[in-house]
Amino acid sequence: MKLLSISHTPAKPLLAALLGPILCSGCHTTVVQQRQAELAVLDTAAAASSSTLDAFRSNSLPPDYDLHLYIAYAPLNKALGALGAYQFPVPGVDGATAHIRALRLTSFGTLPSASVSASVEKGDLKADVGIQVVLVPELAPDRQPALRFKVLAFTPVVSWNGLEFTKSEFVHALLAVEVNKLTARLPLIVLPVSQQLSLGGPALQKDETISTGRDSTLVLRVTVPSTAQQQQIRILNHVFMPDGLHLFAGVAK
Amino acid sequence: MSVRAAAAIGIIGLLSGGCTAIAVSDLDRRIAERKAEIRQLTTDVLAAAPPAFRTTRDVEIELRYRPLQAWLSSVSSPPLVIAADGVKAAGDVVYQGGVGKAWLEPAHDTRVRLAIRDLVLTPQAGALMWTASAQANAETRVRTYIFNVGSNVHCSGALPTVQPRGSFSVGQVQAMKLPYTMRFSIPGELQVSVRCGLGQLGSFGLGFPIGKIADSVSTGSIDLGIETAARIQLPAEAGGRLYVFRFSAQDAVVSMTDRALAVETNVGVAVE
Repeated sequence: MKLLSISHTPAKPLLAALLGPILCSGCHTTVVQQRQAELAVLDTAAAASSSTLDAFRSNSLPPDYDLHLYIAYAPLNKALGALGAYQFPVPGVDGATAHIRALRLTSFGTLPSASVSASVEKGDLKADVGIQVVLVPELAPDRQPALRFKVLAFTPVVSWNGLEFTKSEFVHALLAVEVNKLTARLPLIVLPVSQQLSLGGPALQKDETISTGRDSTLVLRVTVPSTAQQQQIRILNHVFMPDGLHLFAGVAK
Repeated sequence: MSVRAAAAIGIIGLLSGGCTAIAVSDLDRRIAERKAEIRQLTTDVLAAAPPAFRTTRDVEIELRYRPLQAWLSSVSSPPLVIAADGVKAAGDVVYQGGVGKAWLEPAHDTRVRLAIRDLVLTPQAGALMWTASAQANAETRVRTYIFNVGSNVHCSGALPTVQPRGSFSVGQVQAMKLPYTMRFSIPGELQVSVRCGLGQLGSFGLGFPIGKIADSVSTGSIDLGIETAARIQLPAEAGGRLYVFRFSAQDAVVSMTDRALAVETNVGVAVE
């Protein structure tokens, strides 16, 4: 993980210059918080992967289904790649703005995740942030299936020394940001999955000419009734694999 | 700040820095262990995955035949009735010099009805077939002019119940749907006939070829459960913009097994 120091000019540059060599050994970083956040996601990933493995070995997957849809992360990443950068105010940190430069779906084992390239800015203070994210499916029966980025950790990648009080305050404010509020500020991916299955076709009409003997003919207007019907797709189960999402659905009128 | 205070800060810094380094080192070791564990689990998961989870394309769809069978049962109960009604008749159907002639009039009195019931899928590897039960009847009106006397006669006929068979002819994936035509294959030359007694003109028979009238039972499309667009919605705090991405099938492969219709395809993604 890239470690950047904040580009803020210290309030007391002369003092800092004099004491820097001494205080350097007392530099503070968020490395521990970053590692803890990373480890927490990996712990979750190991549990999720074990669970998937157990399900496979016990033959409890796949469920009985009518429709199986698999969508790889690759096309969704093509879409995310075209999203461009965007920004939003950091909740709870006055004047701070988060910049999301890129989002990309990925996976730790079978745990769906995302790599997020992001930074936070407040006045002259600017820092990259590590955002640990997992994907959570939203499978409400009355809405198209969607994937939401759930933020598990939000850690500025910062180092500062004991005299950089403004930075210190900034970092602690960022570390205190409520991650569920950040979740609501990341995009929602609405999957290209139908809620209904349309089958059949419209009524047809055509004219056919038949011979009726000698030189005579008869034109018949043939009417084929509509066979169109819609059935409802109901998602029964979802399974994340390292390269994409499987949805298993029942289909009924 | 006295020299003593600065030294104290330095020592505290050194000590806390040392503690941090130990903590980071421990976390790095645990992270490495977890990553190795996850790599092994991933290998195991892929090895244990049932066939449904072994994928190679961007989008893979398996539609089992239950919904298709439910649809066919529904559209053929009550029976699916294909109607053919005369709209224009031309020429004499019978002509005997010195006796008279006969022709169909009015054209709309000619009616053919084919009632199809009990549509049942009979899937096979590589093909999707169907069977049904069908009945047909026909009627027509023949106007005669015999020895300068005009008359007309109504004639009808029926086909006893037959068991037609046919196949689904499927095309290439279009807009994430599979176009199809349900065609009759057997019996191909089936006819429903009417026979009319025309007095001095003798007997007149007319056969309506079912295969020509009803060359397809149904033409339409089968949804694959996938739409042509994905959407990405930014939250209101970030502007709320909605991005729409058009998905298009590329190099789609359609296959039929004895229990499901399957489509595997890569997809192109375009910003709308």
